Amino acid sequence: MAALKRTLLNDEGQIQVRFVTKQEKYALPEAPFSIPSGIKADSLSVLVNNLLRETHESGWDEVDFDFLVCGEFVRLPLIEHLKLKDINTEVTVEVEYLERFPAPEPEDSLNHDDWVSASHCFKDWILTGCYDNTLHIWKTDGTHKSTIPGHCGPIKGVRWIEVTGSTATFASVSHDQTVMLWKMNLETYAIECVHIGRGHERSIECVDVDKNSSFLATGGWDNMLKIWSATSDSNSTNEIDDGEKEKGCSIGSGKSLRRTPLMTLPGHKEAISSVVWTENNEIFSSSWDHTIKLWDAELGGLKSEIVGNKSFFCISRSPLNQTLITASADRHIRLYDARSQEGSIVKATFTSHVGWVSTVCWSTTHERLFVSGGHDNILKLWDSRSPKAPLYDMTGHEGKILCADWSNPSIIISGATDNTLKIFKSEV
Amino acid sequence: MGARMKKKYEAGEATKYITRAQALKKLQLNLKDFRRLCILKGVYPREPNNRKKAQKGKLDKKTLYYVKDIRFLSHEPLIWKFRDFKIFMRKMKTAMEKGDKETVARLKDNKPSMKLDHLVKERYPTFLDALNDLDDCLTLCFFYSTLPRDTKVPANLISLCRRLTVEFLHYVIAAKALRKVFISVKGIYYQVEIKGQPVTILINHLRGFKPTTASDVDYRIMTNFVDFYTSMLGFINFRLYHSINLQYPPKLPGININENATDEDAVEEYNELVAALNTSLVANVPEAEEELQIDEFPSAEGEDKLDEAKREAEAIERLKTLFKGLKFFISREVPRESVVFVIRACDGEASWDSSIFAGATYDETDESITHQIIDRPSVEKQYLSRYYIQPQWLFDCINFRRLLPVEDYFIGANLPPHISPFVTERLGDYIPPERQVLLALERGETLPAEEEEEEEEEDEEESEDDSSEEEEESKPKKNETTKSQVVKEKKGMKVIRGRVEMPDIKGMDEEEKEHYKFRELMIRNKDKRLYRSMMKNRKSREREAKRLENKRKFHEKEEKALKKNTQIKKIKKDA
Repeated sequence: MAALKRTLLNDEGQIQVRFVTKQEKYALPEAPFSIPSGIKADSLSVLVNNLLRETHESGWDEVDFDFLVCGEFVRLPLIEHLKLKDINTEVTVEVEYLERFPAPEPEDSLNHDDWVSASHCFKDWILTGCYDNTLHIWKTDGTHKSTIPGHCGPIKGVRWIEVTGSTATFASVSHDQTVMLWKMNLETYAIECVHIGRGHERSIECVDVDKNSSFLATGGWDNMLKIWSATSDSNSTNEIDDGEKEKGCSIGSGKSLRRTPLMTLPGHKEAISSVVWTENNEIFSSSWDHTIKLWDAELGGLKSEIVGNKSFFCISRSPLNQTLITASADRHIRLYDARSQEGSIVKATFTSHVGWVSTVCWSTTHERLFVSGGHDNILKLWDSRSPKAPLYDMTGHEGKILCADWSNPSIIISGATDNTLKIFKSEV
Repeated sequence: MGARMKKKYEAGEATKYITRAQALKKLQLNLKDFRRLCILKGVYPREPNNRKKAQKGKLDKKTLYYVKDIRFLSHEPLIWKFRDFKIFMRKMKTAMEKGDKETVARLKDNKPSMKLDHLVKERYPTFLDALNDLDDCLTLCFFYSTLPRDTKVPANLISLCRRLTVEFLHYVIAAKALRKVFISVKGIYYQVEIKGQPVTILINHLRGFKPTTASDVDYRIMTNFVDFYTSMLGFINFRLYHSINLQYPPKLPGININENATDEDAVEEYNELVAALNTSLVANVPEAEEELQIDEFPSAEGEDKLDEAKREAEAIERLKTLFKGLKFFISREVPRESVVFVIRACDGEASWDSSIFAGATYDETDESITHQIIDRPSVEKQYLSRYYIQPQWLFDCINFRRLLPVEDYFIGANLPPHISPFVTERLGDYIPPERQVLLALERGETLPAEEEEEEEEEDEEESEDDSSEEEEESKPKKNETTKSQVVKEKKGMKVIRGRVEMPDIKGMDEEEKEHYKFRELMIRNKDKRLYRSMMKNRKSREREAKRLENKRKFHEKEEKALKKNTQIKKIKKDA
């Protein structure tokens, strides 16, 4: 029996691996290695470092590597990873290694007077919207440039529209059912409201600008998606009087101040939580009615629909690979590829948050990186090839994260209910 | 008052049953003949649901039969044969007492005989019905074939049983139908598959001494059964032989014998040759029927079942030619018949010392013998080209359905326990480690092929140097990385490396237990008793299993300690 057992039972065994890389400076000879099957990613990194140290006789600095097997990062002991992916352990396994994306560095924390519910970054300008009805303009080095009152209700969405020469235009939407279009002089920081858009019957949740900076799309609690013009006629200007803020929203006397929507797209059954423009004049809108709808902005009709199980809180579309990630009322982040013909549309599910995920944002330069913030006060940086564990957790917030943005590739910003906006520096 | 009053015991269960005495009276038979008739026809006493009603108000325990059964018996022509026999015995008695030898001789010549063929046809309309009852039939026939000649059983019945059972064994060998074997105290259990039906036979051990002449063994009743079973087995053998295109009664190719020959010795010798089970009844083994490929049905559910069925079919195919190419030599002290049967049933060749029994095909000195089966503590002359093993190896190989490593079964080795293949473990039962290995094999955890093993060994040697270097260097580095899980920190904000979240097993378990308890509360009162007794039995089985496990662990510990001691003693002795 002992002899039989010895021949049958496979103990800790060894696995044959071959190391491959796309980064040529870390190239290794492609000979197969036999490594214990329970090895983890850190030990693999140490192994590769040692091998590279041998090949480069001149001093070698320790580099952190990450390992991919079958398109997914290795986060468990290797044998379990292979079992999950159903890979035959008796043939040589190809392991791709690459330098790990460096960790973002915490940079700064900007204090506000109330919850920071919206933020958007453009080059080195940060625009934030707050629950105390004010907008703030900051610079990425942390200096506060301007406070803009004007809304009568908490601000839910802000967007930079255009920055040309010395003027910048941006838009903000709020609970007071208005969309305000603002113009700012970058040298004097003189700000004026050029248009107020009325049309929504209930508070507005989200806003997005199209790629040509000519249209705005807003969605709100009245279940309607409205498209507005984003260009401003610079004929009449009206400065907002601070004093009048308390009485109520100041309505400019000039007719050109007021704007109505160009198009209204009904269809959703519940509040619209997030809108995204695409390059081909289409709009993705996500809603609490468990659907994501794709609209054609020119014709004004519904093109297609993705149905899910839970309300969607936020979607983000990657300009690089046209995939959508969604934050839902469960703690998972899902990656959708609407164009895929085979298999399910959900390509991957990322699970690590402990509470609801409130916001997601793709990176504009990296095809696979995105950030997500949730009600567990943590901002997580993910690689889409590693669904089980994020690359980095950025902690520090003491309240639920309401918004996050990575439009500027070098900084990640997040606003939360602890009245702060935190800035992290990231590798471009 | 026009309608008749209903009286008790006029309808229903009372009219369904009849007592034995009433049956005897109705059939006009004595008890011995009635018993015989019931056995031959397959009629049994029944247990009524309500004895008081069935016996019309009386409460004594009487043997009850169905009225319909007795009516059925009354139409049997064998009853007349019984009566003829009774008359014959009466006449014989008077003639013998008178001393009338001529009459006695005349009567003996015209002795009434009974044929039971019509009974077989009546009781088993289809072949499958007969296969269902084949277990008991074969077991009894095998038992009778091993009885010594001087028991109270007619001698020709014993030799008839022997002939029929040997023919059946030949069929099993030719059809490669053997599936499971188990050696126990009572005898050797074989499971054979005939037309998809498993048939389990028990062949008792051949002891050198007489079975106990306990007075409660009623050979007459058993002989009644055997009368019927011999006719049945004759029919079945005929059918089985024809299903594999063999002639019945079997003839050994190359040996012509005139069965009507008066030379009894020649007939005996022929029978012995057949009983040797050593030569095949078929001169040319029918070459492979086309290998049937199992169809693959893409099905969403039941994929496990398909896989299981496939694996089972492959295992059986392997079993059929398990000993192919192997030549065995059986030593004198090994019980020859079971070992020869088992070897031949799996396509091996066997032989023995020609001085013990007829039919030996090759000698001990034959160089091409691969295994020699020995059951004594040591052997003087050993050939290098063959393995000397104990007979349990054969039986274990068949149960495992693969050739086991011979090392565990050498002469004088402590044999691994012989695991029964007939046991199906219920939930919570103790599964000994050897059986766990068998189950793992059945589930398909395959053996690594021998070539792969060699390659792995070479690579292991190469990478050993690498790994030893790594270990030394990685240790200090590991400490560093655990500290620096926190990569960056500033102003109360931290950046930490992402970790895989481990599922909370403990929390989930407790939740599940709570849900289960709620469901338990919702069982209906009617079913609560059954549920409680079921859970109690399950728990007691689990407790028993734990006790056995601990016993095994203790035993293994003791063995290890013993081994160590003997080793230490050896070293001390050498030193």
